[in-house]
Amino acid sequence: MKRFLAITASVVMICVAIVIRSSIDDRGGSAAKKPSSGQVTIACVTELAEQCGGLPGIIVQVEDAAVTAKKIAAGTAHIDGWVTFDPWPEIANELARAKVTGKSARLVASRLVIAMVAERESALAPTCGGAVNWKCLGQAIGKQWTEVGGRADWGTVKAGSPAASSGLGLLLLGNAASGYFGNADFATNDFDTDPGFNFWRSNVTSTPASFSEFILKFPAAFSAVGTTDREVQAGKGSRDVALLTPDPAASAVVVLAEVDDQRALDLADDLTALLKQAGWMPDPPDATGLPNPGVLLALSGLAG
Amino acid sequence: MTRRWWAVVCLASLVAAACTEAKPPSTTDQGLGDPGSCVVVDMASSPEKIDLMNALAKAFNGSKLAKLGDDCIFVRPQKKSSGGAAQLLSTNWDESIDGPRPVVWSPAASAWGQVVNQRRIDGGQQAIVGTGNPFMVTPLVIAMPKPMADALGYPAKPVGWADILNLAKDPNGWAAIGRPEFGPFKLGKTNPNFSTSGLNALIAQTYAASGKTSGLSAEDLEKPEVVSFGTSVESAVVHYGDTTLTFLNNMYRADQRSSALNYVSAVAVEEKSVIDYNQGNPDGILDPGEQPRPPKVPLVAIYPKEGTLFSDSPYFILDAPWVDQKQKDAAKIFESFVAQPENQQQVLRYGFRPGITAVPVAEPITPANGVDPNQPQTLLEVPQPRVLTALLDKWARQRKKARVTLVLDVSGSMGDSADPKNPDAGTKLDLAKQAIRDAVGLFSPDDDISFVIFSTGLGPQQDQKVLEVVPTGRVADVGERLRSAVAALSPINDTPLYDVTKQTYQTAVAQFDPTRINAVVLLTDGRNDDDEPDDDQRQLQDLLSALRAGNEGQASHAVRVFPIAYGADADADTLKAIADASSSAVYKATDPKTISQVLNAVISNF
Repeated sequence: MKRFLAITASVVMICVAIVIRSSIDDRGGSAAKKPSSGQVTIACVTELAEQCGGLPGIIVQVEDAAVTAKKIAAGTAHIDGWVTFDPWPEIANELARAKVTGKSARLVASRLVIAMVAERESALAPTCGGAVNWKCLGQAIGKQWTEVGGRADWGTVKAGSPAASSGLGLLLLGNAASGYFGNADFATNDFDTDPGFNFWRSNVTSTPASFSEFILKFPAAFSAVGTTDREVQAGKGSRDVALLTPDPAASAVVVLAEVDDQRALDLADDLTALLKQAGWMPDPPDATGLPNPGVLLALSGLAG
Repeated sequence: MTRRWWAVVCLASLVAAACTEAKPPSTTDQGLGDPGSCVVVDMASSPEKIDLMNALAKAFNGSKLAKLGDDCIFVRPQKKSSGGAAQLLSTNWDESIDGPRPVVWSPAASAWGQVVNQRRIDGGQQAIVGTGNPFMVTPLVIAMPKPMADALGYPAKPVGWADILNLAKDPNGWAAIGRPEFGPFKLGKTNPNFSTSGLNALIAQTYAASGKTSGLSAEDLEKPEVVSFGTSVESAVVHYGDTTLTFLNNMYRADQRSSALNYVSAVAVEEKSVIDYNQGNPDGILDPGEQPRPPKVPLVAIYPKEGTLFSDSPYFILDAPWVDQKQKDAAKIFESFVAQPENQQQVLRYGFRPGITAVPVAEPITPANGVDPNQPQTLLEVPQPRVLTALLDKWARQRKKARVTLVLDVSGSMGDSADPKNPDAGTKLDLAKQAIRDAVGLFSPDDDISFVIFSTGLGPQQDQKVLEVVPTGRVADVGERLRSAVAALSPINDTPLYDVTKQTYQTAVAQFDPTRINAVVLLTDGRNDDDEPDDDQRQLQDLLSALRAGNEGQASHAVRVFPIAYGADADADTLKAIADASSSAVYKATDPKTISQVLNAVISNF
């Protein structure tokens, strides 16, 4: 008899637990916040995977910034914090048309630059009015090098930056577009009023380019790529790379944004230390020098 | 026994089971050792990097990093040509013949992943190859003996695919540029169905024919001028082959006989192979006791002015039904290990360009080794998967045609069981017959083929050593007859190997067709045995002298003898000497079950 009662009590307790759990889930819906307990989970942009992986005692999901932004906007991210670049948290807010991210800590920074095969930079500069910039570089993409001052065996001008769905890629595209318009204050209306912009944009985004491929297949794969000062210093080795700072200047600022749980912000010091070891600069600037998040969202194509 | 005792016994069993599960690999076995109960990550690696992958796997297995939770990880690379593995992954990977099905596949270039997926999709199967991260790269170059590169004015004067291929097509050969002493322009190309260098060279050749450097389309492949260009380039080919290492080994041997300029004028290989060659290690594998000795005539890596393609060694973790999540996770851990800077330094030592920016290009990728770290200047675009598969299909029609004599040993030992442990395995002759019947379909219908058997006591008077069973004819005409004739064979007497090889070789030379690849394929399971042992050495020396004489000199009628050492008792050393003298390659089917696969590789030379 005692055994029967014990089994009955166990079954009742399990049923009650299931009912309570489903009640909590129903109230929360798909956008439920994670309870403030247990292991901290963060999403981390692919570019910073190594440093995020160095944080002890947490769960790290590594993915492209656009993937996380979409999940946060849809309320399906289930993460406590997000390690990304400014202004990706605001882009997620823009995408959700609501404030879906919390406070953020600015950790470290690096300048956005163009890394270019030095010999080819010298060849292209006269065509660009003395100094290579994003506008003339974008206009040269796809042309034979012989048309823009280079050698026949350099083939066609190939240049670009990482895909706009990546954390840095969108920043670089925004910075390149600022270079095209001459300032970072342009608006989305300007895309259509300038007849050359869409052609230029299509050139710049046609072939996603990474600094790593630029170096590994130097100088064959790309003549120039958008990247960060940090990446160039860490990886150019003995290659003859010209480092160009486009005008207007802009920076990639790494931020740690709260999403579901402010405990994520406790990771800021450890993460900053890891990033500094990897060559990121402390004391990031207050402003990135990039277009506003709405413009970046439009450039990303995420808004549909 | 009380309940408590049962509990103790159960617990002990569980602990024992857990201990067995985590048993570390034994290191007593040869090679990589015994995987024990570790999570095994089988890896199919392209041949040019197999030594590197074995070295990395050895360093990884048994290390602290080779852990997945409580399990140990054991990585087990096996050598598979990129195209060969692509074919098996597209159709059916038979573990009893082809070895373990891979968890990780690392062909020489990513394009093979696209080929596999496209072929599987075309065959109504699921794609299994995802995105693979390259862990090292090496560009395709045109390797040329230095005096010949000097004659072209390289590197002061840029040289392109079109320049080389036009020279290869020119009936005047080197005389067309005022260097008649170099004779005809001989092009070495590997079979694009097997070799990445062959596939990339075919892509580059087709771009050169179309005048493009990107955007090659299926329509381009149909253009008459593209077809005609391809056909005439193929006509300059010495022979094909499943790997570039065959060419480099043969070239090295020719070099040691001060005949380096006679074998091939140019061959498309990876930059890494030029480094290996110039360091005196032509196949990139140093056998025990072998010392690298630089060649008398080094090779120069020509980086074509139109651009080239990189072999990027992707690390594909297959999304295949035979791969479980644990193996995928374990494979990712090995991938991270390979990407570590100290291991990337090892990649560099092997002559590849590292796959991470933290390890810069350095020694041995230097001009002293015939290569230029600042080249290539530009790339050719890898065509779309559909164009790639169409290109391979079209090549089968454009390639240089062959004239091949198939010579089969029907001595008494061919009647031995192919697998003494399995009475149902059939005889060695049974398996060879089946392999030959299947192989007929691998030839082009326009190839010429003849079929010869040898033993003693053949013919109506039982006094012949060689019997021509099917005289030379187009495969389209005699293929079926050959298949029927093979079916009727049975084992007979002795193995007059030397005499017969010389006789069939001389017949092939007498019937030499300059428009074709001329070859003898010799399948034998034994040693020379003609009941007259006293003259064996003389016969062998006569044979080797005849082969060497026939393959050297500008006006030679090069008939290459490709021996297949069949079964464990074949005289592999002598067969290798025959292959070396003939500037071909010996193939080994030590396990008779592999004969179909081996015959397939031999036929890739034509």
